[in-house]
Amino acid sequence: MRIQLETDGGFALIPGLSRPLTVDTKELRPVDAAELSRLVEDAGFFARPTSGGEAPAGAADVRRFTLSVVAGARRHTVSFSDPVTDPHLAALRDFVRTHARGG
Amino acid sequence: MCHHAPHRHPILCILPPQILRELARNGTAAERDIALATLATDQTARMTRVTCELQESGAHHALMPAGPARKQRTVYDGGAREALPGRVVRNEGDKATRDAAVNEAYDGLGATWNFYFTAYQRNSIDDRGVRLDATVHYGKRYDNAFWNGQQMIFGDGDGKYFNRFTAALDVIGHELTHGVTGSEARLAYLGQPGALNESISDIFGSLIKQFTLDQTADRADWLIGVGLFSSRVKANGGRAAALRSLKSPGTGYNDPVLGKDPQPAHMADFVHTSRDNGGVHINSGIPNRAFYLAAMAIGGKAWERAGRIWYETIRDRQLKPTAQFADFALRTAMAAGRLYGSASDERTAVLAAWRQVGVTVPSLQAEPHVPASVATVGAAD
Repeated sequence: MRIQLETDGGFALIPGLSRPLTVDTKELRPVDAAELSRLVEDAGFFARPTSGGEAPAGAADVRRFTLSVVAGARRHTVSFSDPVTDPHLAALRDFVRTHARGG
Repeated sequence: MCHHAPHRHPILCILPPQILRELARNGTAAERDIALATLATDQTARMTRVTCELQESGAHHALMPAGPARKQRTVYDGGAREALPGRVVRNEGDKATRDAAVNEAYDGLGATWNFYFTAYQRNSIDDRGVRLDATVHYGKRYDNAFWNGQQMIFGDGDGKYFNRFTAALDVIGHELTHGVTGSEARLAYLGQPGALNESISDIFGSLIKQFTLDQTADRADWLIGVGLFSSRVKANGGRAAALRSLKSPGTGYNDPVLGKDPQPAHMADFVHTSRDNGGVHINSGIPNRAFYLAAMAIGGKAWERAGRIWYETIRDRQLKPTAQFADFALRTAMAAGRLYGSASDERTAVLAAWRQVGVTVPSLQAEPHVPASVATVGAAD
């Protein structure tokens, strides 16, 4: 399984912090790979709509996150914005940030 | 928002006012009471309609009484969660807490309110005395600050590249100015209007800092977000890194990890991108520098004349939410003409500033309020 996080928007576009972050279970410790699989499962990720929430009207400087997961023949992408109130999406976003190479 | 009138009698409400007045004079006691109540309500309804029409035209600012002009601040602690608004930790008039982020947010809200009220007689960000709310300690290692359309939100930073986001007064002013723009020009947050929206927040964020420090334009640093980056982030010339520079867009930071500040300073370098809502935080460098150049040419304290021209521009109801740089430039020239005269140094400085950043001000001949002679200046390039 491979998961990618893209972050766009925010108070500034910082080139070095705007690169997509990727995590591949093949490169994770088994315990972390199992956790990622569980987070994707718990989130019901593949059944989610592609938009997980838009920024409120009149909002500015909010971030937009895009999570893409590829697992065998299955692939799906979900985008969502600040403020992130869905704990499942927040957990997946934070997992990628913590475990991505160079992240 | 326009509210519907309160309940009226279902039959009397369709009667013309002269019939109601007849009933009030000559009807039975019950009919008189209902007619009088309906007439009174109808007046309220008419006033509501008038108010709505005035708000559409922008004239309500001049005609509607403002709420009491006093600060109403509330700072919330997000407790490292991403739920809003969080727990109230400091209300208006409360003593300082032991939490620096709380106090910085409270003071920053106050400095912003003071600026708009003193410099432009604006009663809070909506000019109607709306309360100012901010949440600090939002999320874990959250390196962003944003405006959600209702309140400000500040993260603590990741501790690696970013410090807490309340550390810079101009960033607090920037976020609250999004509220001002949202209640006035309502510029779309995409492409050129989005870059103008961002530029307005940077300009007034910087002016709030200059006002608080009582600085003239030539003494200001014209930087946004000094203190936000950690000491490990580099800038050119060994100076402290900042998010953006209005004076020299593209020089805020230049770091091996974070990369280089991507802002252009001239239309020749305009960045076409789908990222960042079409480069709203990138191309804002162009109007930012136009303001800097105008303010420096006009001289003195930048919020007094240059800032006044930009402030009147965002209140100009002819400025459309889809305004491009050239549309905005035209409106600043017209505002300068209204405020200081069509042959004034201020207006000349504004036109020259836009020209220097490569924005061609459209012909002003079609505009009835500005003498045609100005079109010659505007069309110079």
